[in-house]
Amino acid sequence: MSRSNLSEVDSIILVQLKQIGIDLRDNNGKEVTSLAQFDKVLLYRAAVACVKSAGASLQRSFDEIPDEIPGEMSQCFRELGFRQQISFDQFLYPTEKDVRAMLSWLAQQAKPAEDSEAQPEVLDTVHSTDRRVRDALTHLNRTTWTMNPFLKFLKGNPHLPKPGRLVARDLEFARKGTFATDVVQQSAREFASSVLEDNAARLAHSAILDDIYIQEDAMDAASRKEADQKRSAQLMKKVADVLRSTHGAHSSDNTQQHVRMSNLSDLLLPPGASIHSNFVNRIKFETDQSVSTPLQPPASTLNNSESSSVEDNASKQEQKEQERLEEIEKYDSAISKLTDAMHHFETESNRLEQALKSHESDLQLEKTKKTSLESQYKVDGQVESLLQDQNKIREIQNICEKSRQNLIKLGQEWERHRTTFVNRIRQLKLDQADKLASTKDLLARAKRNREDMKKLIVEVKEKEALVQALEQERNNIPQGAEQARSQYIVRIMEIGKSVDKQKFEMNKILLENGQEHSQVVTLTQSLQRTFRETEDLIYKEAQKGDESSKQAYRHLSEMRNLFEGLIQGVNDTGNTLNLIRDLDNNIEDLSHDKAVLSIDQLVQDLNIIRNENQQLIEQLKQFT
Amino acid sequence: MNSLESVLVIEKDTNGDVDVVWAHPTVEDDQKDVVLQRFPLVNEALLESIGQGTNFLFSKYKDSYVYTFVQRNVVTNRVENVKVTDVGICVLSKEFFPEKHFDLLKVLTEIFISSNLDASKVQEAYLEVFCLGTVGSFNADSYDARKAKIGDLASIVDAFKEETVKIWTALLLKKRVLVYSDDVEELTKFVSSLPCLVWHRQHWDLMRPLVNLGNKNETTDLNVVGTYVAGTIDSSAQNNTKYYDLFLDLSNHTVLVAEGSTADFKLIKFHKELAEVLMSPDVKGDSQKLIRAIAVKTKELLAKLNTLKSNHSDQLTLELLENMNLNTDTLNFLYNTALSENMITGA
Repeated sequence: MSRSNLSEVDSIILVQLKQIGIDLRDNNGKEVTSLAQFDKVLLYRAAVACVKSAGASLQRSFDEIPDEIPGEMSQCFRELGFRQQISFDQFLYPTEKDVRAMLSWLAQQAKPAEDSEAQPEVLDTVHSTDRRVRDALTHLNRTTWTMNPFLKFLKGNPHLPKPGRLVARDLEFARKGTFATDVVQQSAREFASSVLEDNAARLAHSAILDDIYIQEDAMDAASRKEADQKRSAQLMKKVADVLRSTHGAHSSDNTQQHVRMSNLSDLLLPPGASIHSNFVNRIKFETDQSVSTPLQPPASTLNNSESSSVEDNASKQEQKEQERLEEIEKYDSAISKLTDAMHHFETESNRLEQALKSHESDLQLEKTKKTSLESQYKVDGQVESLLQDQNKIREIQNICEKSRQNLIKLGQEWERHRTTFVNRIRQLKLDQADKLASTKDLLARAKRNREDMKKLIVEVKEKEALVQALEQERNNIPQGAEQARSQYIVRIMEIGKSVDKQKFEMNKILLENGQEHSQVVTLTQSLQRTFRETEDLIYKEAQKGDESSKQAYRHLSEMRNLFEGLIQGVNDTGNTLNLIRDLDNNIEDLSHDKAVLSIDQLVQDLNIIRNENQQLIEQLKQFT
Repeated sequence: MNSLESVLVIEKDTNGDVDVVWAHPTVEDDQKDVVLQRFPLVNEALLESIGQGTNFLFSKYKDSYVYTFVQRNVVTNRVENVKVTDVGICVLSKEFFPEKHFDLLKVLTEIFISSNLDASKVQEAYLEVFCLGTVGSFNADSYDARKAKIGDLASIVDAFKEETVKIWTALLLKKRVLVYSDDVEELTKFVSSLPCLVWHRQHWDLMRPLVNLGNKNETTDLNVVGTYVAGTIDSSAQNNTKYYDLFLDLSNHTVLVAEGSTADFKLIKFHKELAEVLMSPDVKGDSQKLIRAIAVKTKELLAKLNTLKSNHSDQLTLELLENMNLNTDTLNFLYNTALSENMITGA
């Protein structure tokens, strides 16, 4: 929207706000002339006034809205149907655009203050007339448009201007608040009925007439025309009767009566038709007016010259209207003829299209049939000529058979080649697929390797960083601590070496022990075998009955028992000695531990370690 | 059996490639393309819609009926050529006789597999049947061609009830009919039965039992033929209104008239009478009786038109029909019927 348009909109809004009764003065007492000059105080005041006024028109009271900007303000706006953004921001930080949008909407919603005393004195007489006219029209618009109430209203309302045309667009003007007084006061004759109105009126009229025709079952054109005229006469007579009964006494002046009749004829139409067909029906009414005698004023009350001029005008007008009606009827019939022709052509065109399609399809079919029949005919013709000679038939059969054999041979030969080729192609495709698979595999492996490499690089970098950090740490360690540490390491290494040596010695001893043990086992086994053989020998001798042998056997068994006891004794002694040795070792270990676990030395070491730890913590803190 | 046009051997190898490896005597590129598109091992949607155990399909492209037989998993059977997994034999023929060609294809496939996929043996068998009419257990003379024409009208009436008259109207007025089903076997059987509704024309060439509306060659063929009864397994075909005047959904048994053709499908008294004939208990479940009843009723209608024509000096025009003070729907139907039967002597 251009700047000039905006200023026009602003001025309209300001006028509307003034009509509502808002004092449009800023803090300095200067009257504002554009919406850009609105500050938050004035905007709020205007908004509250509009909201209250709009609420009053909807029978809702917003009197509780305080002077301060209330929290429920946005709720009021929402209730009234404001669709745009509304919040405190719009009031606290008003922009010209928001102010325009809000006030434009509010001014439309708000009802202007009815009390004329509340109006600012600056309103001129034109505005007051406008308002009165608007009120009257609004009242008429809200009430049912019947004859008697309207006439009563005309009689009883002293503020109403002279009767004028109450056409739909005037009412629309009145609703929008931009009513033009001069338009109201113009005569109905000065308005040219629009094409739409004419068409709509004709349609409505013809619809009414059609209904009547259907009812009266008059289907031929002559009877239609008669019915039309009859209907018009009846309607006009009815209207004239109504007017005469309600307003006839007050019509002293013929011209005034004529004008009033023409105005009121619009109102006699049904509500649906009144808006659209008022002109045409009025014309018909006026046309028939001269015919209907009850509408004519008494001759004694009229001046002769005036009455003759009025009659002339009426007859001329009647003639004109008659001509116009005839012309319209002519056009109507022409249009209906054209529409019928168009419809006919359209149907015809569809049929022709369909016929064309059907013929095309048939043609295609016939072509196919023709081709096959032609080929069939050729073959049949040749066959017929050949069938006449039996030799030729045989000859043909031979040729056919030979050709078949040739074809089969050719086919077999081709099959050999084809199989080779196809197999090769398939093998190549297989190889290709394998290669593709291996390539994919390699690619995947390469990708994996690359990922591993990346991981390794990261690890190496981390380790390098660690080495550097450790080196740094080592460099930062004090010299004394380093020496102590190296001494410990040397000692640990020496201990490790001695432990290794001892382990080696122990292994050697264990090996020797093993060897000894095996020798002992071998000896024991050989001794046991020897003893058993000896025992067997003596036992066999003793069985022979030799007393000495028996005695010897007894000694032997006794000896065996003694030896077993001796062995048991030796074993017990060995075990005891082992136990003693173990105990000695334990004692030795304990005494050695006691010697090693020097408390003082431990405390000293602990202190050194603590100091070192302390230094390391300090270094760490310095780093961090 | 000189109605045969050509034979094609199709193989699917271990690489997953499907191709025509042998064709005798020759096939056009577009024919080859259509054959492959309608081969179940290439067309996944077709493979899904084929029931278990079904390995025979028939369709039509241009002037040729396409009969296809598929044998799957041949490697596991008796074939040494381990590089081939599935095989198919396709025969292009001028003749519409599915049962006969099914038997022929079975024999050809058996020969092909037993010869360790030697395509020259198929060619040999094809030449034999082409010249002599017999090969192996197949004998072309043992088939009655009239049987092929008797479609299963009983199942159509059973499925669509009174709506069958709309299908009859579409065929009588030479409208484009598109049939959808998710079962390809049911679809081809249904579509091949539809021409029986206009028995008096003896016109089977209008059928296209299986089409793929996404294939340019096939849609061109449909456009060239103009009037057709086509089947599809594409569930979105209903939205493709430019290819049909009447759409039949076999899955839901619904009939849909295209928006621009509703005027031609306005039902009149004659349709009501025909519906009564179709639903009559005398013909219920008997396809032959149904065909006869519909043909009689259709001939009655055509006889009336013929009488009208002969009474007016062998002239039948729109003006003549208009002067009979018929209502609009009857007038349209009669005019369109006369137009379809080439009775109209002036536009």
